[in-house]
Amino acid sequence: MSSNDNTEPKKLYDDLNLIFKNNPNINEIGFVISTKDYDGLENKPFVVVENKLGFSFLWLTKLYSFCFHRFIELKNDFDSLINEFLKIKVDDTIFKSTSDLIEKLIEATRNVLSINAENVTALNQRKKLIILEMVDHQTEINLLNLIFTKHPKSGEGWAHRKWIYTDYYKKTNQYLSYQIELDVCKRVAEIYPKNYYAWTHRWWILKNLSIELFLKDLELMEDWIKRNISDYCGYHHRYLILTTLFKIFFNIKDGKDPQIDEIEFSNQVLNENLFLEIWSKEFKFIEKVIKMYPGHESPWNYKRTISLFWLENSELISKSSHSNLLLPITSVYKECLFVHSIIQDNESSYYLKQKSFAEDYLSSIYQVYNKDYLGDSNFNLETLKQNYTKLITQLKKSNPDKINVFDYKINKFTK
Amino acid sequence: MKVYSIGIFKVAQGSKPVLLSIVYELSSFGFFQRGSVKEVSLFVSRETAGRTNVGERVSMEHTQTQKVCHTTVDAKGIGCTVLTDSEYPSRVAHNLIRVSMEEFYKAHPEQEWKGIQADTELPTPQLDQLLLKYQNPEEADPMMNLQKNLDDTITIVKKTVEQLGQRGEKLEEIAAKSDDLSFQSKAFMNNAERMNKCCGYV
Repeated sequence: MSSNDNTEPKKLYDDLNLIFKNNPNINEIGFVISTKDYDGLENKPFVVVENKLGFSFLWLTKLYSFCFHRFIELKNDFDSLINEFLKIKVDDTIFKSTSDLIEKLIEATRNVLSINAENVTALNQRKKLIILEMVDHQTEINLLNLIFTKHPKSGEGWAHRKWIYTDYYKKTNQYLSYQIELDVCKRVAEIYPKNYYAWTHRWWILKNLSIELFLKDLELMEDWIKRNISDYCGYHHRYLILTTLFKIFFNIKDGKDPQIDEIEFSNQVLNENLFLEIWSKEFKFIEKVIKMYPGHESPWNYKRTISLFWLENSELISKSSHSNLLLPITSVYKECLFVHSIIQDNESSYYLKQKSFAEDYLSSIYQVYNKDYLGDSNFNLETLKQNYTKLITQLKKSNPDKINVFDYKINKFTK
Repeated sequence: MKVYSIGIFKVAQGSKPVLLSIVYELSSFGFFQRGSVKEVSLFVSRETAGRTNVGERVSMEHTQTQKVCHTTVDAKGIGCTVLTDSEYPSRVAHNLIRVSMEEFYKAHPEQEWKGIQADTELPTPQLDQLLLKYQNPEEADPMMNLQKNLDDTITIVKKTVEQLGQRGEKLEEIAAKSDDLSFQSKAFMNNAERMNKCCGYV
């Protein structure tokens, strides 16, 4: 490439650096097709409105290509500098004398990542700079917050974030602000629904914290679910919190998650009554959601997950000293009653959908009966078997395409 | 569970509906998307209002952007549109239409808008409040039986744009002719469809 070809992208690059320098409070980035709507001119490469920076698509390819090559050049310089340093073992003033190079490198990686957050080379370069203490952890978190406004689903970006959080902990034995992490996860989940990276990160942050914060997050998630009925991510987050509280309460250390095994159970924060309240509230909450928003499958799936969890653990609960209090929370019998109330309510909207979800749900519940505890003395193993066979026969009729599945289920059950 | 906009139009047979007032709630979109989302919302609202018969309650699914436009046109020729996501309960949306129309009539008597022939913005601050309140349907409609099919007078018709219009009318053609959409918004609408496809299995 001749130097002449480079003048235009170089100018773009310099302009971009200048924009970042003059507007230190930029809090959102985005790509725009035309800049006309923002400042009247059609073909401008950048727009800055209310601390939001927009890149025009028109110039993006050229700019990115230049940013990337520029970054590689600087990276090579940096690498040879490191080699030199290792060879002659001079004191580390050599880095201080090259602060110009470092600054350029910081700019170049930032520019690359603003356009493409998946660039692992640039992310790793920044990790090196963090290790050399030329970029501090909080600055890096701020940069990632900015990048996530445009690239919320960058897996590499989220992995980088996790690295920073861990590295900071290793060096200082303290955590960076968890509130910033939880806030960014929430915002990102809003602008990009069903963002698994954000939800995984949220749980990863949370499980290092305390029981009090688990309870607080549980409360926050209730509102989230009411506003996002069909997004399963919120439900799954609740499931993780609730089952972890269960493990802590019953002191189950299964070695699956060392961080959780380390959490000490304390009677002051999580006593028997509170534990009972949380779980029974959960069953009431999800039943209310199912009735209020019929025809959505996610709340049914969630109900199935927590009911199965509870029923599968009913043996453990019945052997514990809390059995009188906790066992009545749910039972096969109770769940049957709930499903029948749904099936009878044929005035509900989306009735057919709701009915088929209810029947599917019931067939899963029957599968995990506990011989010693069905929840009601009128309800014995014989009736259960009869009801189950009846239900499966109905389901076979209404879903002829799934006959094999139901045959398998009934075989497994009668054995 | 989101309400994106409430719009009030003056609808007359055979001509394009005239915008009287519209409010938006777009916090779930990135800053640089909001312009396009506004245009697309206005476009979908106007096209639906123009294809709704007097007294009919329509909930029109706009598959390209996975939004639903709920509309009613009353005997005086005022049409109200409420644009929501696909999981918002239609019944609550139609309640919102009813109260929004009441608020509009309170704020603007008939003589004020009767002569209007071109798009205007009659400020109706009550609509902003309603828009915020109805973000959570449970709060807005504490009756709780919001999903019951209680009586026939409020039967809600579900239609697609194609069913609303004359036979053979394609949405792309309507969009291409529309003045509400800039080039950027047309691209946005097409991209929205592609993005939904790659991440959704609904």
